[in-house]
Amino acid sequence: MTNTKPAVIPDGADTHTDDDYVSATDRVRRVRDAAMGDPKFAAAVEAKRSAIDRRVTTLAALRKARGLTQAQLTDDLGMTQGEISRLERRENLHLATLARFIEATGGRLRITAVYDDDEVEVGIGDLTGATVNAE
Amino acid sequence: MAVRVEYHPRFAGQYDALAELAQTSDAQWELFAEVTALVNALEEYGHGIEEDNHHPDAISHPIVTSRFHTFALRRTPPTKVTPYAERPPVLRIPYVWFNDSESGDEVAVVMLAGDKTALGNDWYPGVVNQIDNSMVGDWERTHPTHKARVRRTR
Repeated sequence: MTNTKPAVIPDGADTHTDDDYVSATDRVRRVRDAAMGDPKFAAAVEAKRSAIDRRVTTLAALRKARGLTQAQLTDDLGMTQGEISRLERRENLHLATLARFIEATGGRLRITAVYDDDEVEVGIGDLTGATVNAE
Repeated sequence: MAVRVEYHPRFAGQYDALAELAQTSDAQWELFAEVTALVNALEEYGHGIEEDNHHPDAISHPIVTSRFHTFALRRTPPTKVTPYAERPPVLRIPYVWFNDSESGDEVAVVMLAGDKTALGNDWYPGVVNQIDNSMVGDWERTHPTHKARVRRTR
């Protein structure tokens, strides 16, 4: 293969039958499944996904993925909406604050120490009333 | 939290064609992988990838000129694994949120893939016109339990 020309996005058809509408989702999945059968392609997709994942797993993303607004968390966190907004943008925060945020969104915080040859759940106990279990 | 994602036949045709073109060049192959990674991320994260328009490296941002809850997946900024991302195409993949009255689910319908390299932000009006005035209506007609979510106005 060559790499001399920029990639282009095909236009695709403008008109479709009703059957096209019904079958389109399966069509995409079939094409994707076939492509992912190629280990090289699957690895490329996974690498790009990893880059996406690193940017998605923020507190705001965790909250939004559960259909929650900042306003809905104000009571549970004892913060104003503005404080929650600042919390979500913070690059460093106390473990207890993180645990409270995760609990407010319906989850539990677990911390894992990852070594080259081992992974260990870290028992961090009960932090300022937040129930944080290491199992 | 996984969400339901479905695909408009316009996007399905483009995706199928992309798979074919991926056989012809490395750039097309990379683009096909990029599009696949983006729709996979939408299927996995749903609203979790959506950011405000001012967010510099948002994976998805709202298309505020649409009267529906329309967002666009975008090609990720350059990283170690996507150094080509500064090159064309400037990828945008609009999708619209629907409510499914039968299942109670939210459903994101991926409408099409586009390139705003040549037009910049002037690319949006034509696409929004297609989505708002044709594609959403055709989707609702062929999926009677789906109703596009209308953007709240102030």
